[in-house]
Amino acid sequence: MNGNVIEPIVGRYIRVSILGEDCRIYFEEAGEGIPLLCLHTAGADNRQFRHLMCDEEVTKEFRVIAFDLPWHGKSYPPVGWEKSEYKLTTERYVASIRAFSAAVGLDRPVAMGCSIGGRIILQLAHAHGSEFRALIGLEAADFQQPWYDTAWLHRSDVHGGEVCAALVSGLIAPQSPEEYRHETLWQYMQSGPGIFKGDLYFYRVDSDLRGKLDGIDAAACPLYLLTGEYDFSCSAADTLRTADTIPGTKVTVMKEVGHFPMSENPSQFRKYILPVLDDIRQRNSLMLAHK
Amino acid sequence: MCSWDFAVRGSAAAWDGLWKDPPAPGWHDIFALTKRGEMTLEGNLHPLIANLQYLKDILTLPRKGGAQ
Repeated sequence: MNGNVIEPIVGRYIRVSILGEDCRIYFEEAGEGIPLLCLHTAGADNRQFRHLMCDEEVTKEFRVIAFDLPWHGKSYPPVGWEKSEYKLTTERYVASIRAFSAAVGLDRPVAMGCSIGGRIILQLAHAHGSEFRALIGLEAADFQQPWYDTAWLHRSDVHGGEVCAALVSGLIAPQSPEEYRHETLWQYMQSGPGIFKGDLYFYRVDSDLRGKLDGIDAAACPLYLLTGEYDFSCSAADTLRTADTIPGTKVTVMKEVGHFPMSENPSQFRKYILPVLDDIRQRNSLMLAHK
Repeated sequence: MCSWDFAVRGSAAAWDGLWKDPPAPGWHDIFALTKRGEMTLEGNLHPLIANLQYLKDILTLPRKGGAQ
């Protein structure tokens, strides 16, 4: 790196009421234009989108905005969190996204989520599609087979941060740069105790969407699903199977990418996401011209 | 005489696949291989899980000829 560089990303806090609880939410943003609301993976935080926020090809047309879910990153849990076990539910997840979007005043944003964020994108398409300009699911499927016992994630005789990172390390493509591989793992090492496990409650128990995705109108709210070929948690086959049940869905299988495309290999990911964003931008321009 | 706490057992295809550089998708991690039925994790898994990244790194050393 040559000299001192101030990145264009700006971070702020906002107070949001979620399911009747006051939550102090941290969010970051960069760019201007079509709002692009980004949702991080389980047990991680909004740093996963830092590369996207520093990509001028994206930020010249999009206002990229990413928040830390409560219990994650720099968003505190609501008061009284210590009295119960954290478990993310579909209801809480949808409420968090809609409450944050409304609080910031986003007008029909594009939403893009990865992993659990990809799963909730499908639920948003099903139940709240009219609130979004387009929806992008990264590593998204209606269901996937579990591949380890989540009881290992939160116990006194195993270091939580290290085991979370060690488990997900295999989901990163072998071609991803070492710098970004370890940056992605660092996010998992820093997660609060039991939070990754609590997010996976949503993923494994509370959000089996098989057979529940009827009524999605991909003509009114375009749905894009992009999955990395090295993701064996949400495999390309899982995404393709899901897309088969939703007419009009546009699917891309990304080469040399795993479960964390925007974070593990930003330059490879942009090859796939820029055409999607351009598609959305063109459609947006056409709709404005017809108004 | 053989005493052990945990075992990582795989088919010849599993180890061949894991050690290819680069490995093919779905053959690149011990959990990818257990999920596809080419590998098993057996015994008392606590020492494996408590030292998981270290052991995964050792098990994939042959991918780079043990050079790393």
